[in-house]
This record gives sequence, C-alpha cells and structure tokens, in this order.
Amino acid sequence: MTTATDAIRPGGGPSATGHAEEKDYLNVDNSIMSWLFTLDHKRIGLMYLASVLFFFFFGGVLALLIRTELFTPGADFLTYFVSGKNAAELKLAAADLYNQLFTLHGAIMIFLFLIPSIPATFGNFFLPLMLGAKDVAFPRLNLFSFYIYVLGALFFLYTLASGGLDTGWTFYTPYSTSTNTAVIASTFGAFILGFSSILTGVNFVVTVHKMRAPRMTWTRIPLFLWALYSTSLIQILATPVLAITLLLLIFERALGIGIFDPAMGGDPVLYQHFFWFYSHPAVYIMILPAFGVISETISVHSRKHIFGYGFIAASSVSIALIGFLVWGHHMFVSGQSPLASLLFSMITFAVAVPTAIKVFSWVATLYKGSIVFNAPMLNALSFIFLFTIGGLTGLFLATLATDVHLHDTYFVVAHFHYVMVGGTLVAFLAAIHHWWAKMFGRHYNELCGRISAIFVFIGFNLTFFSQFVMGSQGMPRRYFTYDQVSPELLSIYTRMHQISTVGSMILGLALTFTLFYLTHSLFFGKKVHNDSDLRWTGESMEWKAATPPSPHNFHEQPIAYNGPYDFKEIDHSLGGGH
Amino acid sequence: MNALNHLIATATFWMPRQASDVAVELDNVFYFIYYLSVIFFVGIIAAMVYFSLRYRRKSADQRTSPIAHSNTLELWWTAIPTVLLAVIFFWGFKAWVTLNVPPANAMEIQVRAWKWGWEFTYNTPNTTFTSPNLYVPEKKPIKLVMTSNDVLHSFYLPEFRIKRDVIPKRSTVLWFEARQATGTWPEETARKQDPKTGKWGDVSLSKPYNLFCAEYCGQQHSMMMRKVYVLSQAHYEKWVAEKEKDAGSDKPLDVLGQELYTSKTCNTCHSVDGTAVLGPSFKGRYGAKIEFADGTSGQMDDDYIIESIEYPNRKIAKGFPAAMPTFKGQLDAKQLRALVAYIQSVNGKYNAQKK
Repeated sequence: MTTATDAIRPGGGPSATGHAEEKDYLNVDNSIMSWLFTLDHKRIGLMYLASVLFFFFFGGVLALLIRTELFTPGADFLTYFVSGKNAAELKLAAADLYNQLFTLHGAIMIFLFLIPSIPATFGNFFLPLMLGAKDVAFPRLNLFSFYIYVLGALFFLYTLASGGLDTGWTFYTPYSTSTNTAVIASTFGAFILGFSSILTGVNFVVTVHKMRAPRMTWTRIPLFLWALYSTSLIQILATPVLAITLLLLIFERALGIGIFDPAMGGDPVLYQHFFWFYSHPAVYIMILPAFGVISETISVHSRKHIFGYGFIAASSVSIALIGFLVWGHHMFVSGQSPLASLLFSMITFAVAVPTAIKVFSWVATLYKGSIVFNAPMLNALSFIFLFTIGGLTGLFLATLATDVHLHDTYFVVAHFHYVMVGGTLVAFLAAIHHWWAKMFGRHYNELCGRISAIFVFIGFNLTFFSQFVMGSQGMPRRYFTYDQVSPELLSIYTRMHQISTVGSMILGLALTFTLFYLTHSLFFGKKVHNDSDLRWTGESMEWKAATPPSPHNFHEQPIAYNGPYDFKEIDHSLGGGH
Repeated sequence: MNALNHLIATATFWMPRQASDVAVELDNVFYFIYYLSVIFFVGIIAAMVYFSLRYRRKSADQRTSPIAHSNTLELWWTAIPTVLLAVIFFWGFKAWVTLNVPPANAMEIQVRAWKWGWEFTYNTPNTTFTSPNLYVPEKKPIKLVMTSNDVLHSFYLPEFRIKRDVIPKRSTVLWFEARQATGTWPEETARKQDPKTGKWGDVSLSKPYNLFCAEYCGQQHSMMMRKVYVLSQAHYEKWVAEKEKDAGSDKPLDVLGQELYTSKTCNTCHSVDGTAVLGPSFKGRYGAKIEFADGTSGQMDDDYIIESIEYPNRKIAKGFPAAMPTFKGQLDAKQLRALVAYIQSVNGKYNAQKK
C-alpha cells in the first residue's frame, strides 16, 4: 500500500500523528444524550445507519418467509402460522398473511431502507467532509429530519401491531379504500417519512451550493456529491406530490370524499398517475446515490481518474430531470390513453442513454488502471454486472408491446430487484467497506469482506435470475399460490421458484455474515492509529480528515488544490486520450 | 400441418406457447431486444473482466494512465445506443398498435371480474348466456369488453401475450385471435367421468390456455385462475347450441342454482357441507335463527338470502367478516330464486312442486 501521509496536501488538515491524544467524533462524549441531541452530521449519519440496517434485516426476514412459502405451488409453510378449523380456512388465513408479508416487505424496503439508505447514511456522513465543510448547512434541521424518520417508521410498525396492511406498497385504489386493514396509519407514516426526505434534500442542496471549500469549483466536486445533489432535487420536487396523494387517500377513506373510488365518482387511474408521478422519480432517489458510490470506489481502487467526469455528472442531473416525465410507463395496461403510453415509452428510452453512458464510463475507468480486488472493489464490479442486467431488462419493459406481456409478472419483480438490490444494496455494501475504516477507525476483516461479496453475488443471481424466466413465462407477481396453472407452466414455475428460494437463503446467510463481521470489527477490528494504517486513501476531501474524523471534521479550512480523482499513481508521461 | 402445429405450440426457455399471431410478432420484438442485450452485456462484462485482470495491481506503485475522457469514444457510445433504442421503440410501438386495434369484424364477448372470479357473457341472436371459463372459436378475432364489480383486476392470457386492467365503472377493451383449436371438444363436454372405473374421459382432446388475474386484488388474487378453450368453428357452434339450450331450458331451479353457486363463485366462501370458510356454510342454517354482528337476530329465510346477495353488508352474520361483494344487478329474478332453491335443497327443504 502507498504511504497515505504523502497524500495529504498542503492545507488538507494536519496528519493524525501530531494529535494522537485528540478526541474524535465518536469518543468526544459517550453519553446517550450526546447521541440523541447531537448536531454532528457524522453521528446523525450513524444513527440513520443503525436504523436503516435494522429495517433492512427486518424486511429481509419477511422476504425469506415469502420465498419459503413459494418453494411449493400450494399453501404450505404459512399455514403453520395461522389458525383455522379446516384446510380451506387455513389456506385463506395463510393467503391473508402472505399478502401482509409482501406488503410490509415492499413498504419497509422502499420507504424505510432504500430511500434513506445511501443519502441519509453515507450522504450525511460524507457530504460535508467531501466538500471540506464543518457540517451540513442546517444541522438542527438534519437532526429534526432524523426524528421525523423515526416517527414515520413507528407509524409503519404500528400497522404491524394493528392487524397488518395488505394493499401492496403501492396502495392502489379502490382496493386500498375498501380493505379493512390499517391503510390510514401506514399512509400517514409514508406521509411523515416524506418530510424527512424533503428536509434532507433541502439541506444537501444548500450545503453543496454554499459550503464548498475554497477552490472547489463545480467540476471538482466528487461524483458522489453530484449524485446526491441530483437526488436531493428529486426529493424536494417529487415528494410533495406523494404527500398530497396520500393525504387525498386518507380524506377518501376517513371522510368519504370521492377522489379515486369509482363508487363515489372518483377515478382509480388518477390515483396511479399521482402515485407514479412521485414513485418513479423515487426510483432515481434510490439508484442515483448508488451511481455516485460506484464512481468513487471504481476510481479509488483502480487509482485512475474517473472516465468522462463531465458526462457522468451531467447524466446524473439529466436522469433526475427526465425521470420526472416517465411515470406513465408503469401504466401501459392500465387503460391510460394510447397517445400517453406512446410518449411515456419514448421518453423512457431517452433515460436509457445517460444510464448506458455511466456504465461504459465505469468500465473505461478500469482501462490501464491499478486494480485491486478488495471488498469494496468486488462489490463495485458486482454492481456493474448486476446493474447492467437490471438496466437491459428495463428495455423489455419500456417497449410498449413486450411490456403488455411482462407487466405485473415476476419479470418486473426480477428487474427492479436487479436495480434495487443488485444496484443500490450492492453499492451500499461497496460504500460501507470503502469508508468503514475512515468512519470507525477500525479495519474489518478483508477476507470476510471478499467472501461476503462473492456469496452475495451468487445468492442474488440465483434468487432473481430465475424470476426473469418464470416472469416471461407468465407467472404473475403477488401470488400466494400457483398450483392452479396448466401442467407445463406449473413445472417451470415450480423449478424456478425453488431455485429462487435456495438462492434467497444463500443471500440471507451472506448478508447476515456481513453484518456479523462488520459488527465484530467495531470492537475487535485492527485499529487505525494514523492515516498510514489505512489500506487505501483517495484524493477527495474526506480522506484528508483525521481517522476517525474529529467532531468538526477539519482543524483548518482545507483547500481544493486538485480534483478528487488526481491520484499520484497517474503517470502523466503516458499520454492521454485528449 | 400437424408438425407445424406442434412447432408453434412448443414453448421456449423464455416464452410460453404462442397461441396467436400477435404472440409471434411480440416474441420477435422480445428476442430482438434479448439478443441485443446479450451482445451488449457480454461486451461490457468481457471488457470489465479483461481490464480487471490485465491491469490488476502487481506492485504498490503501479503507474496508471492519465486518460480522463475521449470525445470520440463518448460520442460513439452515445450515438449507437440511441439509434438502437429508437429501433426498439418503433418496433415495439408497431406491434403494440396491432395489439390495441380490434378488427371491425371481431366477435364481442362481455367480461366481468370481481373478488374473486370471472364471468363471460355471450350474446347470440337467440339468447344470452354466461360461462365461467372462456370458450372461443379458432381463427376468429375476439373482442373483449371488460368491467369490474369492485376493485381493479387485470385480464392476462400469457399464451396470447395480452393483458389489460379491468376497472370498476369503466369498460376496457382487449382483442385476440387464436391460431388453431387445441382440442376437438370443450372440456366440460368431453371430460366425462366413467361411473364404473372412476377414470376421466379423453382429456388429451382439450388443452386449455391459462387466464390469470394480474392486478393484485386481495385475499384470493392467486386463486382467480380460469381457462381459455380454443375450439374449431364446428365444435364451438355445438358448444354454443348446448349453452343456448341450457339457457332457454326449463331446467329445475335447484339445478340452475347449483350451477350459479359455482359460476358466481359463491363456493369460494360458502360451503355446502356445514364447514365455515370465509362466510357461513349454506348447510344447516336455512330456517334457523341467525345472530347478526350488530347484536340483533333474524331468521334465515328466502328474503334474507336475497337481501344478503344484493346488500351483503346490511345484516352480517355474527363471527364472520364483512367481506362479501354485492351481486346486485348481476342476477335476474329467476336466478335469485334458483339460488334460494339450491340453498333449500342443500338443507333438504326444497320442494320442486312449489316453483
């Protein structure tokens, strides 16, 4: 490994050696109150990290219950968890339980894990550090949005205690206005969570605009921050629409005002327009930060300037903006006007271009680099593999004719899991390994990290590739049983569901293993005494702070003399492709 | 012809049987995107793996290239995908237009969906009749006019590659044309059980297609499956004649009621053997005193049955959820009487003379 102390530039803060006794942000005050009322963006980031991981594992257990049930075509596994006087009663009670499980799995993973995952944890922790700032622009607002998140999450948990929600995470009307389950509590929870998302977005936008270090021009901002910036724009602009929609839904259910329910003169398709106007951009809230993480990890671990900085930065912003105009591709078979479908399909293809450019640029970054296969890099390469499949299968769904067949089948389920799990979760894993030592001052076990990356990759592909096959063979999503289909389809569905279930067990074990060795390293991991103990460093500002960073990040204002990807391994005598 | 029939009827790794010409056109689009995707995927991953291995770190101070961008490369890899995506879009659009425009001569069948069942209404010159499964003649365009009684459903035939949401208080339209008959006789006619051996008749005569509900609609969403039978014109006409005869015939009320009990999916929630499912069983309650959820009570008589069919939430039996959808407007007076007669007969209290 190169000596990291050399990497510290003039003005980049003192090296840790001269301040061995100094308190860092973790041990500056150990009281519970100092955590609960902290205004430090790093501590708030960690509180988010603990919360989102808790919900991720909760949602993951629900997923495994679902997969276990689907191992066989009929009603089996879940009937052991319900009561009934005879087989028919058991089957229907288990069907209700199944519907609640997949609803909670989806709602928890989307609202409590994916949306806050990277921005609220690594975004909070690293956005000010990478800008060379002391904190975010509004530290109190930052803490406030964390507590709003907690409040919203509690409302979601309340739905568990109050008899379960069975509408699917999409709350489609008129089913959601007619079911007897806790729709109001959970939509109100999503409503509250929306505010957390908006406030974090506002905070990030202002911070990026106003608190950049001297000489940090817009072209010297790390790509992770371009991604977070684009994400924040979506959070600010799209989330209010969801809030309004959910409020209207609550009005309809509580006050009987007909907005979406046709029995009261409303329009159920209108609900879908409102819902997807938020929820499609929300997909980019979930994936854009992942793109940013991959840009960072790929360049740091191949010691090369990211390829096509300008294109990648511009594509983040353009994806964010075009992403507002494609919501109708969720509705090709909903009965919306054919002209609308035509336009939505066309614009959707327009989003595919900037996304493809990003993938090409990441691969080109590897060219003539110095590549090391450590845990963050393995996860980043795994991301490229999985996200490429996720992206390419999106073409089948953007195409009008093929979407008619594939819509609401497991093909869609597989597609969005490739993007959201193969994409966002794997990028989350890349980020957590990439920055672990900087965040906690301890090393995780590198061998464990590599094993985890490989088994997550294997388990994931087994789980979800099989779902592409059963989906294009017609298997509809949100099905509790599939034993009534014709024999030739039954044999395909059964085989694919079994592969998927086995894969999900591998994936579950690999992720549990990851949680275990990371937690273990917090207490027993090799300590980072000074920056030369780090296994790698980058050229962006966060690497210039102490390890772990001090409460106010930098002792003196760092100055961006160079760009975030100007690694000293780069040999300018080799000539470039300019 | 038989060999050809077999060929097109064969499913591939990705796609189920092709039951219509539209399915063939759509699969061509699918495979075009598929092979393009495979080419791009293999190219991207091969480059990634090659670069990763070729330029892996061999020494700690390995030098790297200063290349940070290339206008030529970036222009090409923007332009080529753009052109290919445009081709995919237009082809997909063209096939989709075919999917969306029913031919003028299409035969119309009304489709009704509810929690949780389907019903197909055929209007023939002589009469109107319904069927719980869909029977269609081969090589004839069929236009489905669909509506829902309660929540959203979605009519999905994977072998025909068609799908359309079914919406309450609105009608949506879908059409398809089956390529050829998959059997000579409809199942319900050909499939007779031999009373002596207990074996089923020539089942291989008929190979139905699957009908799924693709829009989540609650508890029995996955149990809303039905079948689509494609018959030759001659056999279809025979089937229609039989159904017309049934519809016009003066068959006993309790028999008609029994048919409705299945075709209207009463049987998913109400048993006739005394076991409670989602709703109370029909057996053992007729004439008895019923406790209602609001604390009042009443007798289960003919009026109560009809009232409960039309307004299920007025008097809910104690201990059961208010889960039943209304069937108001879907059953005529005779059909209502038939259901009452069937419930009477289940309880041994039906007197055929009474009419």
